[in-house]
This record gives sequence, C-alpha cells and structure tokens, in this order.
Amino acid sequence: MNQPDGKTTTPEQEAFAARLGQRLRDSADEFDAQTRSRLNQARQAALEEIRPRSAWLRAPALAGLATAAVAIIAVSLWQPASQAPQPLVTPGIEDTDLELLMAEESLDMLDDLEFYTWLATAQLDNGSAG
Amino acid sequence: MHRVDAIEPQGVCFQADGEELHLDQRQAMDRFLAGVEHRALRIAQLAVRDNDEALDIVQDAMIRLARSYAQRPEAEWTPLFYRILNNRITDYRRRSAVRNRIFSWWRPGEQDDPVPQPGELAEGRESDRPDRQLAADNAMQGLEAAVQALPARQREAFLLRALEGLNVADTAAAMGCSQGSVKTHYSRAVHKLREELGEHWQ
Repeated sequence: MNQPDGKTTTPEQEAFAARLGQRLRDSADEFDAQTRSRLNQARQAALEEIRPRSAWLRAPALAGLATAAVAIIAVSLWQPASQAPQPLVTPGIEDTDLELLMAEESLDMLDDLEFYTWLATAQLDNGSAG
Repeated sequence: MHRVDAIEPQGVCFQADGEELHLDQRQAMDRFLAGVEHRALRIAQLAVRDNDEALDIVQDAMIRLARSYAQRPEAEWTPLFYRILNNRITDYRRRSAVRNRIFSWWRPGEQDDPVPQPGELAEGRESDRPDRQLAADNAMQGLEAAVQALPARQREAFLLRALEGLNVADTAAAMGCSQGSVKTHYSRAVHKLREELGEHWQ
C-alpha cells in the first residue's frame, strides 16, 4: 500500500524523510572549528583555480579575425597532394629525352649542322668512289 | 565634435570587463561553495566514514567544479558539483575495496570489510542492525548507521533529496540516471530507513 509502483512515497514517508533530512542538515552545521577551517581552505584553493577568459578572445571582431587566420593556415596545410606544385615536365617526355634536350653538345651540333652535312656527303662520295 | 581623450582604447575596455567578470564569477563561486560545503562534507562523511578522506573528497570536488565549470551558468553548478562529488566518493570506495582485497590476500585471516568504528555499522550485517544500536546509542548515531547501511545508489538519492533538498530532475542529473531511477532509489531508501528507524523518528 505504501509503495504501489515502487517509485512513489506516501505523505507520511515524505514527512519522515523530511525529519531525517532536517536532522542531518542540523548536524552539518555543527562542525568544529578545525573542520570549518579546512573547508574554508579547500574553498579558497578551489577559487584559485578559476581562470579568467582572455579579454581579447571575447572581442567578436578579433575572434573573427583569429578564426579566419586559423582557417587559412589550416586550408594551406591540408591542401591535397594532387594539388601540390608539380615539376615542369611535359607529359610523354621520358627522362632520357629530357637529358638529350638539356645536353650542351646537342646544341653545339645544331650550330655546326652545315659541317656535319658536308662530312656525310663527303663520306658518301668516298664510299662510292672506293 | 569628438574629444580625442574621451575615446578609450578598445583593448582597455575588454580588459576591464574581463576583470570585472572574473571577480563576479569568483564571488558567485565563493557563495555557492560556502553554501554547499557543509552538507557536501556530511554526505561524504556518511559515504566514506572517514573525516579526513571526506574532506579531501569535498576539496577535490570543489576544485574540479571551479576549474572546469566556473564558466557554466550558476543554475548548473549544483547538479554538476554533486555529480563530481558522487564520482569522487565512488572512486574512493572502489579503491578501498581493491585495497581491502589485497590486504585480505596478504593476511587471509582478516575480513574484507574494514572494521567498523564504535557506533558505526557495516552495510548489511545482521548482527549489527541499526535498531540494536539505537537501543544503546543516541538517535543520531542510529540514523548515521542506517544511512550508511543503505546501498550506495539509495544513499545517494536519499541524501541528495532529503539532506541537500534537490528536486528529482537535479538529483537525476547529479546521479547520472533517469528521474524514474531516482524515484525508485529514493522510495526504497525511505522505506528501508523507516523500517529501521521508524519507532525512534515518528
């Protein structure tokens, strides 16, 4: 009857609980001076832990600027590898072709192209004569 | 025409506001902690049965609240504080249980539970029922013993509701459970306490 659903308390039970609670509260006000002093020290130690929020971070405009700066840095750092600058190489050109293009003697040969043409013609003439 | 000297640098304004806010926050936290510290210590004493440990637990809870939740609205501080306090008490009891188990391995002849101090009762011991204590000791001692003999969750619900005066919602937040569970634990605790103490506290 007292607990029809296991969750409710009757008015008598509530009054009983209130008496117990009041007695416990009274006993909590009867701590000796040493205990009160230790509680006070504990409270002061706790208050020292409160850190003021930075005044600058509470300024909306500055906070917005800081957010934008962080966003720019983050995007630049997180840029995918595929978008990173690639070496200037024309697709389809192999390394060996590149070496040929970059070799100095090849450019010299182009300068003396007329000489090499004469040399080849002369060798052909000698061959046909021999 | 604007006077140049009337314009304050904005940074100074923010700094002044910040200090004022910090002082308000500190004063509010001081008032809050001063208001709950005695009852919090009483709850911790009843749970761990050791005054020094209870004081340490209350101090830990105060520091944690101030360090981590001072920026939260004051209305949230009460359930947050008691949530932290209950967690600290639970941690202490677990550590004590492990320590007692280890000591019992070293010295197999000894019991797992700590030896109760005079006037205290171990949980659930038939030979030390609160009503027998009440016959010999005063009513307060019997009340403490009966509360200590409650299962942990029932004791939490009873102390938060009856001693601290929290409503069901805040008690549920402090205990980390549903309001229905709070009602069940509280009802069982009151029912059990009335069975144990009824004739002396009517």
